[in-house]
Amino acid sequence: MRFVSIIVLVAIWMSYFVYASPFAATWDEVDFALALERYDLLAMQPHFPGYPYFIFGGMLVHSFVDNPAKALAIWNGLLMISATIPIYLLAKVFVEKKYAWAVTALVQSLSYVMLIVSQPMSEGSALAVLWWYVWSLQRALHSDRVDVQLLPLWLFSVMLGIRLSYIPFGIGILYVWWKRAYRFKKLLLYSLIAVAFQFIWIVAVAATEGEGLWQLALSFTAGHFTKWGGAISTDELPFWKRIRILIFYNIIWTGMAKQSIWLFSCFVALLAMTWKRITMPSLYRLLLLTYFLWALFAQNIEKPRHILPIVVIVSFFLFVSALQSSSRFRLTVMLILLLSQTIIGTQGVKQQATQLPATYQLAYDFEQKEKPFILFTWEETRVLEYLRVSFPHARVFSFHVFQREKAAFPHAKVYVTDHVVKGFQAQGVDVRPYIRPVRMYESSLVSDPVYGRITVYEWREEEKRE
Amino acid sequence: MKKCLFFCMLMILVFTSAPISSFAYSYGDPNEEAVAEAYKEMIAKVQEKKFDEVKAIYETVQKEIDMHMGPEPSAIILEAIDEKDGDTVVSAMQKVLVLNVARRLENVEKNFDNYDTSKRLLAKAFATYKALSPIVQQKDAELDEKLKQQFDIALQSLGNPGLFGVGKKESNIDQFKESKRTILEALQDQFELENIETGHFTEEDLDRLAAAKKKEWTDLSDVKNWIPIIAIVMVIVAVVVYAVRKRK
Repeated sequence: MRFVSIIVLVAIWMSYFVYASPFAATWDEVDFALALERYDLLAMQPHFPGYPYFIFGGMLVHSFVDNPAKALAIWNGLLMISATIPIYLLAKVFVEKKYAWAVTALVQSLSYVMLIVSQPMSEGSALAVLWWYVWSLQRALHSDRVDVQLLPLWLFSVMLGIRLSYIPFGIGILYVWWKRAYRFKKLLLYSLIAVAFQFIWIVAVAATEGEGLWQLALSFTAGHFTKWGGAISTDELPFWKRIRILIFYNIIWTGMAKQSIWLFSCFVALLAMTWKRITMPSLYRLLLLTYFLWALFAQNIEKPRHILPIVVIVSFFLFVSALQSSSRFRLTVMLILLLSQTIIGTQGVKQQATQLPATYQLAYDFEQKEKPFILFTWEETRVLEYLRVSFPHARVFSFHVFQREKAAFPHAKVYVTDHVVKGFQAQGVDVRPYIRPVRMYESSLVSDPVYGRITVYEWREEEKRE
Repeated sequence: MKKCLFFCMLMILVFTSAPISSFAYSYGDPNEEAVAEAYKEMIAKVQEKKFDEVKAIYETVQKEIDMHMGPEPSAIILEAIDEKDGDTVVSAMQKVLVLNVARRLENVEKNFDNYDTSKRLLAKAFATYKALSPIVQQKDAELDEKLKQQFDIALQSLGNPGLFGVGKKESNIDQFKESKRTILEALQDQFELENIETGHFTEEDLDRLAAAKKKEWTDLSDVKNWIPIIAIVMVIVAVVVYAVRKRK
């Protein structure tokens, strides 16, 4: 088992280099890719709050790898490879040493995790640092040494400097402090140190952005508050449906099984065998619960990648529980799962790196179209900008703005994407008399659940008058 | 465990008050330029022949235009609006936009060593150009492409402080002047302006700019805008106090 595990790990590491995605196919990915050339928050490359450690690493890799998207994906891969160490050390805490490599390989080969790590998104890096952070918390629980206590504070800063939305994991630090029953003075000291660590990256970002950063931060925060209770509620799902989607669709079906029936069956089998034995220490239950609520209320449920931390921690304890007492049968099931995950995961990253994303297909196809025309989109426009297409395109959310922008192109054909159409429908506009489908572009919906499939419509107003 | 839950709940309260959605960062776009936005609104209203509304929109930016481009543009535009002469309104507004690009670029040059300011002003110049871009594009698509490139080069010429010292780039004022000249000459030619010397640049202009900045973004002097921050701080303080009390 150990031998197989190590072979699998090496294979996964290789795939992080070979199949790092060269495409910046979504708004966020373009933000990050552009940041490697010019770090400029005002121009939204990247967007607030700056993701400094992620971009910094990407910049370092970029000096060897020409394609910025690929550079970021490789940086993710490098950090994820380093995360093998904390995963192994944690595994050793919970299972016999001979099975620690198996747990490590199983966690590293989670197919959906592999897929996200190979994208130029900060999730991959953040997830890797999360492992280091969780391991440092585990150590801090049982040690009074100052350096052991300081390590989680520092890693928490690194993690937030990669992805601010992992902030709920800060509860782990509070839990350690509470468990160790520190006196007020010590608490105050550690809190100050924790804040100071956070300031490392905040100051670095501030240094590049100048005083503008604070205004950017405020307008970002204020934007959230004005939005809360406003526009967001238009497509708000009922509460129970949200929970159901989060648990079954996002965590289990996408996160663990990568939408593969075979992997899903393996997990079900594994769960059936270990159902009664699953244990999880309270630190991890607390982390999971906090992050779950955060994901439920404050994260975009359309993007399953946001729940990855839950997937990896739950999977870890599922594997640990299964291997706590071993039988030949159980080992066989684990081995099958390990190999399946690796094969399906590798295929996934390969496809992601070689198949043209829908946004790219759209750009290249419209480049061939007869002019004049204008294309109205949602976030796709950012990718078109990145690819420097030669035709006019614009992002439009409201029907009012659409009419206004359209007025600037009186003699051009007007195309809209399905996201625009759905947006208008949500605003109560009857779009049916105007639209006629032109073409559909498709890539993987697992890689990009929102823009993995794009339908373009032509918008005609004359017909109404006839 | 109870205490844990309480912690949890409070943390959740803090976090949920700042939801991160996919469009969050499109809020409060600091690169927007008021004159350009007004122009876009106006052409839509002109097409609908709602001249009252055109006038109302123009008045929101009239002061700024009067201050920087003199009284002539307003005289022409307001008269055209009164006469319901849509074509003149649109073409005069386009000229105003060209003047606005000129004024912004002029100020970039004056603040060239102040990266913070110059970058923002250049973004505004570009936002203004983007409103004009459809017209240039329809007449001469290649020129539009070239101008966009020039804006990009101008941005490069401002330099960049980099991140943790990586990606640092020096500024280059000659390169900027070159781009500025190319852009302004092309625009002057395209929109048939005799003169783009706006000439109204004084120290007072920079003061006004600073004052305007306040309004364009989150207004710090408005008490209401502090509420979220205060709320977050209060909750955090409450959690800490509660935890300390409990311990004792």
